Amino acid sequence: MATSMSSTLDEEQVKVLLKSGASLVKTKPSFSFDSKCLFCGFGCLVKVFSTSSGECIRELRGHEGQVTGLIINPKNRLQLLSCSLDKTVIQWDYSDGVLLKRFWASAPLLAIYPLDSSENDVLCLQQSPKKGLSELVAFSLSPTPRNKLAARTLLQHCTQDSRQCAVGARGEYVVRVNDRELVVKSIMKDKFAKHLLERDKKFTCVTCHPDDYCIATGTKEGKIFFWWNFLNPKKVVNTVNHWHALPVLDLCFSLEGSYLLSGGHECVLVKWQYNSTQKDFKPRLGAPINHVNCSRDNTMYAVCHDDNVIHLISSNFDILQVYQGLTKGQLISQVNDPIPMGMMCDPKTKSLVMNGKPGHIQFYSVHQDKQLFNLDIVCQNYISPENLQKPTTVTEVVCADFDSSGYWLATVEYWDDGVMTPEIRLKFWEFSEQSQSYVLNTTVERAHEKRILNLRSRPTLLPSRKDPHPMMVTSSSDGKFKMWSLVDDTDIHRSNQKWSCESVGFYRDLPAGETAFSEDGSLLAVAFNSTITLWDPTNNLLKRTLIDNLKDKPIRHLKFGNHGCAHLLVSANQKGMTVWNLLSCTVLWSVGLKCSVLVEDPCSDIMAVITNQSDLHVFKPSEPSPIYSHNAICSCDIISAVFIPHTQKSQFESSRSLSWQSSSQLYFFTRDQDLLTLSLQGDEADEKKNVVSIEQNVPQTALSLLMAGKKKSIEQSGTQSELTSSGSRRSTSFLKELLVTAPHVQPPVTFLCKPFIQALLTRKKSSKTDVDKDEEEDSDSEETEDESESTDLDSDMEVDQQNQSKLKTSSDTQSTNTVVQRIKREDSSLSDEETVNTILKMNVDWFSNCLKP
Amino acid sequence: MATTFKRTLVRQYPQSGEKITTDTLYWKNLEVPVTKKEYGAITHIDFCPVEPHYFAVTNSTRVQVYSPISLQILKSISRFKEVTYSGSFRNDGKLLVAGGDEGIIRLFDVSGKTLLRVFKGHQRPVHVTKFLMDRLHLFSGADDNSVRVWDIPTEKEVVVYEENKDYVRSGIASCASQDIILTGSYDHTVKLFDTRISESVMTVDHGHPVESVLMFPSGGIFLSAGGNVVKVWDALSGGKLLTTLCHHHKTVTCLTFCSNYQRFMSGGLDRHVKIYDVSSYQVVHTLDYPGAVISLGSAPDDSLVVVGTAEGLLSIQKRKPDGEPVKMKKKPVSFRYALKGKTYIPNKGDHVVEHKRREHLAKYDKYFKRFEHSKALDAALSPINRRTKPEIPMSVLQELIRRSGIRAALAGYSETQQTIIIKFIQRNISNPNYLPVLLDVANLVLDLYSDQLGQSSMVDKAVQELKEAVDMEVKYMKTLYEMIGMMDTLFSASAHTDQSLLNGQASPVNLTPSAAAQNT
Repeated sequence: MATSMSSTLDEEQVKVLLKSGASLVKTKPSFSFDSKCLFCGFGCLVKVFSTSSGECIRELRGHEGQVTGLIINPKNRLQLLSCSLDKTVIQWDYSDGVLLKRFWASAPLLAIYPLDSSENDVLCLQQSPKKGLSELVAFSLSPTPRNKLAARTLLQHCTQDSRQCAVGARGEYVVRVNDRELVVKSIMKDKFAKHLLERDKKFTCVTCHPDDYCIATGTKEGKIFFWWNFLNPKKVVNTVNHWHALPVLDLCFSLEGSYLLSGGHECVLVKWQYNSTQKDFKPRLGAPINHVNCSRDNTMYAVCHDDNVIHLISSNFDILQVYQGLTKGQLISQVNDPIPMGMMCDPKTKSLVMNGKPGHIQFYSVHQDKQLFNLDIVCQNYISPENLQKPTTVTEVVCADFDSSGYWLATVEYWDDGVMTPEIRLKFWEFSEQSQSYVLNTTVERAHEKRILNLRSRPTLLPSRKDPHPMMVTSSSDGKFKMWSLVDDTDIHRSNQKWSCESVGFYRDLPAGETAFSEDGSLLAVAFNSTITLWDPTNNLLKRTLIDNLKDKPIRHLKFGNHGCAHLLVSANQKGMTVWNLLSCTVLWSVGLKCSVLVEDPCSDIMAVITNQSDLHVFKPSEPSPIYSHNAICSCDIISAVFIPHTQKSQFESSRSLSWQSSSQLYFFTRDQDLLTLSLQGDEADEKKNVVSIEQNVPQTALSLLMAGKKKSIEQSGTQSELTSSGSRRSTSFLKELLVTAPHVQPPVTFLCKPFIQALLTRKKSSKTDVDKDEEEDSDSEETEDESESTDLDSDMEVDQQNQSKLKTSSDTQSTNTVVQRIKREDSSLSDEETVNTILKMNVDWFSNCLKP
Repeated sequence: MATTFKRTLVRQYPQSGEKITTDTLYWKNLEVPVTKKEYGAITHIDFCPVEPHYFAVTNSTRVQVYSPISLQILKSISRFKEVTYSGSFRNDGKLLVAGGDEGIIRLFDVSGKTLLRVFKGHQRPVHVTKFLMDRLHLFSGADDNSVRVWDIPTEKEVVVYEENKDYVRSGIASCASQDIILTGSYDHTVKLFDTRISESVMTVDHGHPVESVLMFPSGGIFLSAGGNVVKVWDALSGGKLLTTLCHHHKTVTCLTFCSNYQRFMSGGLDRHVKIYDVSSYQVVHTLDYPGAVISLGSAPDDSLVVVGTAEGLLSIQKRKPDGEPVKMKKKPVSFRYALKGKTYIPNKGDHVVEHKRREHLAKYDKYFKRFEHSKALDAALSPINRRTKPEIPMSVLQELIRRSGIRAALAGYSETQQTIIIKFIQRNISNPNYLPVLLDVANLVLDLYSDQLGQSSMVDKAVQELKEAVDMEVKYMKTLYEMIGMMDTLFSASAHTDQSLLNGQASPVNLTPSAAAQNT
């Protein structure tokens, strides 16, 4: 969670917080020595994932810059070394999450490699003063005063890509590739060797065999070269393996070097057998592979993808785990327009919904900071392009909306390569309770003639219930807007519901643009260029047209007010923002803001507007003065924003400047695909602490066995207390029933008394058994007195008192006062059912009085 | 997330016309009808309720009993001097009764064709003769407006009802009771009689001359047909009209149950037989016949549908035997191999490799998976797909466009392949669903092969035909647009008058504040 910037406002510190979107895949992931954990760089954090459960079990905080490299400490296998752009190397005890040591280098570090030599521990790729280049340096991680690292340069003119440098077998040589040259340096002999590729060929990555004197390099044209005898430029031997059609992005040897893994833009993981032509494939991994790593026991491969996913794949190509960040678009079209459908909030899960993988929409829970799932909308295979200069056009989801209960989802997908006829498809999805996912209900091919610009569902006044007559509206640049409604398609053979077009509306042959429904769904506003038209959605009649002559640009944003501002309509275009009063059909106020994003809070009547200069203004449509303003919220363009309701009580209620976020929080998405939010200073400190312990593969010692025994005993005592509480719960169920049942339907008191007393008896016995024994011992002398009292039973009064107190205790289950103890002693003596009966017979009249309402 | 190969989605377009349901499949599963030409109109068809379900066909002056297996006449009873009507079996299938224009009712033994009883009493032609459930009585309805109940052993009439004001042309005995009969008359009434009482117990007005009546075996609900409607009545709630079915456009002449009382059929002069669902009263299927249907019968086990027309044509349709797929007999696996590996429990630390069953893919999908686009297109353009499932080649073409592999796939075609694709375009270009894709493909094909025109007569001819098809389509569109223009003028003219009327009556439409606005 990095802060990108902060600004002072009043006395409170409000800052823009990166909520999500840090890349999981910028750093090559690394396995722990026992292969139970996977380490990934996540912004300035190191995330430790379990390979068996897939959960993030620890977050290691300490770096102040992007983490760039992660390795296991070659000297201690239970320690992790990480390097970062903040010029530090940190030694971690990952099992306890403790920062052990921090070492300072002189320049930003780009990668870290293990080295098995005596004097030096690690190699690092260190940014060199020359622009765009770096050098490979060796460090010794021995404690020195102030922990300054003494660098010894081994190789210069390295690129800044960690994949283009490698350390050879047993640390005997280092190798780098740059453009078309491959340079090998033998550390022992201090000898250089240089190999060149043909012109216009380029190396992309390099790796060394862990045992053999062999280097594998990947090239831009998809060839993989194996080099032997490389220290002698004259007698170098190389072989070529060519399967990839696009550049090879990463190479990795398995631990013994019997297999080579390669990945690239084809989204296929290729496993080559060393010194053989045999190869295996794991196709359709979803997105280009940019990092591959192999676990120490050779059973797992970690494969990173451009769309912020790490796949954990077993050696026979089963997918074991998926570690998923916020899915980021990696295609050129996606980079230009990352989320064409914008952001919205799923009414069911309160999660953030936006475009995910190509043709998917992702559900991202901002509260748990976790991706819930990617819903496949277009159901088409992702095809990697033939060459990278000419990317294939993918079908993308351009509009989507939920109905107010979240049972229906409508999506619009669009495919246009500029040459062929575009594909436009409107789909309606129904939420299935069984599968807890959305199931396709209706597909409409070419719902409009031209691209659909807007899709909205009609809200209802009861958003919690499933709307029996949901309605959606689509508007398109072909000048029409269409109302879609759910119709019954049931006949004797099946029961079915489908969506069909109910009516079509148009206005003066103008292209239809933004649409909006009023809060109660009784009014529909459609923008036609600069004209706003108001329609009755039930019969599609034009009610009014609103024209602002001063701002005659096409309207980009149209929103009805909520709650107290339900009679107001906010429209915005390039020239400014206007608020209309619909009761009088006049302009309430107008302001010359160049608005790029306009969002409304579903829980309150406030709205937020973000201008072209990334200024944020929060306002109520009824008042022209803003509630809150924040200038230059972010350095790059903000393309979408959304209010997500809080699930827990928020901390903003007491805050002065951010009190408008008390019911829901504003999230916004930049062109760089970062999800940001506004938060108070010092908020990031109270991130939840992970307390999951990491189990080590440590051999059992006498001490550990002892410790385990102690732990067990603690656990046992815990379970006992649970048991007793459950016993008391059971006995009160009868009493509860007794109290709930209406008096006139209850059986006569004579029937009720016995079970009533018994319910009390069993309760006492179960909950107080162990205490009883103790007390019996020390109150032996009293016991005899009590017994004589109870067996006498000459006075009704006394027993009445006892019973009354019993009744009291039945109402409050926590019974520890002295009265209860007295009764308990009473009960232990009355364990016999016969005695119960005798008491009852005498007290029936009292009970009947007592139980009368 | 890695996924398995997603198959090419074959787009299903909504089809106009009949939907395919289980019922349509069931009723389409009838063989080609066996037709027989008789002398006169076939007035009645009755199936014997007991096996082997012989059926009696009444036409002109005879009653013929057919075998349901050979569909041949087993017996022909022709001891009538004039036209005979309503040859019906008793429910044990041993006796048969028939009325006729003579006004005399004759009772026959089915096995020996011998005339057992003659009931005289009606003065006019008798159109309805049916047995009661007790097997000892029968009733008749005649053109002398009377309904009579006869005792079979004594040959005497038991009751005479003379309540109708017009001919009694239809009737049925209740299966639930021995005494209840239901008759329909040309005076528009349907009457329910109890033979123990000398007058009708219930009368309902059908609204048209009643041609046929039908009663559910429980006796609670009955149907009447007349005019072009079928009406459903509830007898238990005093003759309440439950529903009216109006699916024929001419007189409905006959009704019968089929599918073990789960469906019923109605035949009409409009040459259709409609099959209805008894619970929802919806038409589930329609059968068409070459003549006006006046009698109808369905075997109790649905194995036969027999229809008689006014022109004397008897159509008998047999149900096709259920086409059970012939199962390949699986070779028994020897014990040694059957259990091998299936009971093995892997040890801890073993590397388990699961057997993966391969997913079955269509041929074009297999080629798509291997990126062999040209072969995928060829596989999709197989003759059977081109003729019967054009949506498959269309989806494959669309997928090729999406993969930007269409140009490569179409290039390098031989003459025959060029002809195939051009012919495919020509045949389907008139379909509006396929039009956008086919236009793109046609442009591409012409781009690729325009320089080769004139080299092959086959291709030239195909291109010429394509041009004609396109010209035709353009002309057609033009006409349609003209039509739309004309209609738009008419509509807008009428809408204008509507509006002016509205404006004249009511004040200008005011925007009412929404509920939420009012609350605040």
